[in-house]
Amino acid sequence: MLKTVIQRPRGEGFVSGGSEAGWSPPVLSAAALRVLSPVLDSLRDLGAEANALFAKGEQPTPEDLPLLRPAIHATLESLDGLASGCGFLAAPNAFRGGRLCQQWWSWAEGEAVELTLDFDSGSESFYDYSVKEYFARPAVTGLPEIEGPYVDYLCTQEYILTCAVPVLVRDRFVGVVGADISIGSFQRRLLDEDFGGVDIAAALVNNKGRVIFSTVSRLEPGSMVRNAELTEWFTAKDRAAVRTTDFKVWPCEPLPWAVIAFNHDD
Amino acid sequence: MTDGLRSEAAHSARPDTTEQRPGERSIVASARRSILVPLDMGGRAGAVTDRLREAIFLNVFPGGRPLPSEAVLSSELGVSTKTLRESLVVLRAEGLIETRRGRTGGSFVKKTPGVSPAAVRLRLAGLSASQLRDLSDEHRAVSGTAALLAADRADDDQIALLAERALGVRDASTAVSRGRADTQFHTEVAVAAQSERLMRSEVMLQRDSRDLLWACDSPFDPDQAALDHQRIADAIARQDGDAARALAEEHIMSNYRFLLDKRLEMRRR
Repeated sequence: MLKTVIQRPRGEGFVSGGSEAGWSPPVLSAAALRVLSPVLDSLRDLGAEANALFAKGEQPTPEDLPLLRPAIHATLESLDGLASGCGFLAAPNAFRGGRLCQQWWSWAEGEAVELTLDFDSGSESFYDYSVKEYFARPAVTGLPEIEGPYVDYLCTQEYILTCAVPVLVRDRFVGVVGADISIGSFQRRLLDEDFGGVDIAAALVNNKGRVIFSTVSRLEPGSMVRNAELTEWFTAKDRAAVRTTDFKVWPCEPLPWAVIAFNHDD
Repeated sequence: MTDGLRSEAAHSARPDTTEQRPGERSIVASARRSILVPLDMGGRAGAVTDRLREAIFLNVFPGGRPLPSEAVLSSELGVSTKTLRESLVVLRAEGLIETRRGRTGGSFVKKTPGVSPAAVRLRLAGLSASQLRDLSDEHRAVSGTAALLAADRADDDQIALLAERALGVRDASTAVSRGRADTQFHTEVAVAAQSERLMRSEVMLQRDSRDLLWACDSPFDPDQAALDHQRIADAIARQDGDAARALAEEHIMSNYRFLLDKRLEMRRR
């Protein structure tokens, strides 16, 4: 079963389902993609709205960001139960004068509430999103990013994943559209997906080796798989050439994640 | 499962949260619910004062905004208006609230709650040795376990951040910034532990203790604190969970021993 052919992402990069009978690690990887693909799809739509704001003739100002509200609300509605918040975070140089500014909405008590971040660098709750991985990496790579799971102590105070899609206007990076996903709702959605059961010892891990989801109670979510071969696999140009001794690895493209499966005796 | 618990707490929150800082919503909702439970029959002013003080430290009542009316507060706390007023007098003396006159008057939470040595002394004077020991017990459990788990779960970025934050308390120049740096280090340990709950507990415990440590008239030694932090960070970096836990517990206990000594010293004068 471990020899099942790795499912390569097709088209937009999302596998449409685990068609094989029974369980296999690639099915878990496909299920994770199915849970997250609505998020990435919605963020692409929201990104198009943000792009349109900047692509207009005159240069927008931070005061124009509320124009994104309807689109942000629509995104939040469409991802209800999965995303706890979403919005647009502007690149510090997106506007003349250069400063941090955003338009972000979260669910609170069943209502969408605007999040105001503290951009006072001298303050204890100063939140500089421009140095966060989910912002800084897409700024360089121009590709979607997913950070976490991490304890977000300044904003949501939850254990979350943050998905972000860069907004590029004529190749210029002007910010990201993003969504926060509580790890709990992600795991629940994944359990609802047809990933074939929990009979094989396997785990979904991020590129730091942190466990996102696993079928082995010993491998708690949030724990680290510290293994030199796994690190090598994540950084290798040719992943197929990387040998792993104690487990097998499958990619989860386009997410920076992997599914690892162990022998049952481990 | 924790998500379910949290949303339940969030639903019980009041909607008057417009000026809260980001992310404080959920913690505030649950904090308000647990702090503003009615006190036992005939609850003393001291207990009321403790609850209100905590509520202000936790930003349940944000700085610059009015406290709820005396009628509302006394009914939520289940005490008489007279008892409530006694508490407000104490909070005013500590510099946590101020009274404004006029049509829009009433009791307001001060924007920067009092961190004057005098206010801190008053606060410490209100704590018994048992209360300090109890705080120490809880803080030790939280910080010790956070350090143990961080050693197991921290990634390279978090290890680097902890090494940097460890020195924050030494490099800070004011009482307020020392307190913040101390809080930041311990919060990052809980963040590295990947635990939402330990992080929340740590933040609350820090707010309970840090002014006592750093804003009093002869504060804790920042170099010693930085050294302790460094040792904890080192143990986390080498994934030695037992050492990290032992060092964190010893650090917390020495903080509270310092406070207890201060408390006793006040009695001697």
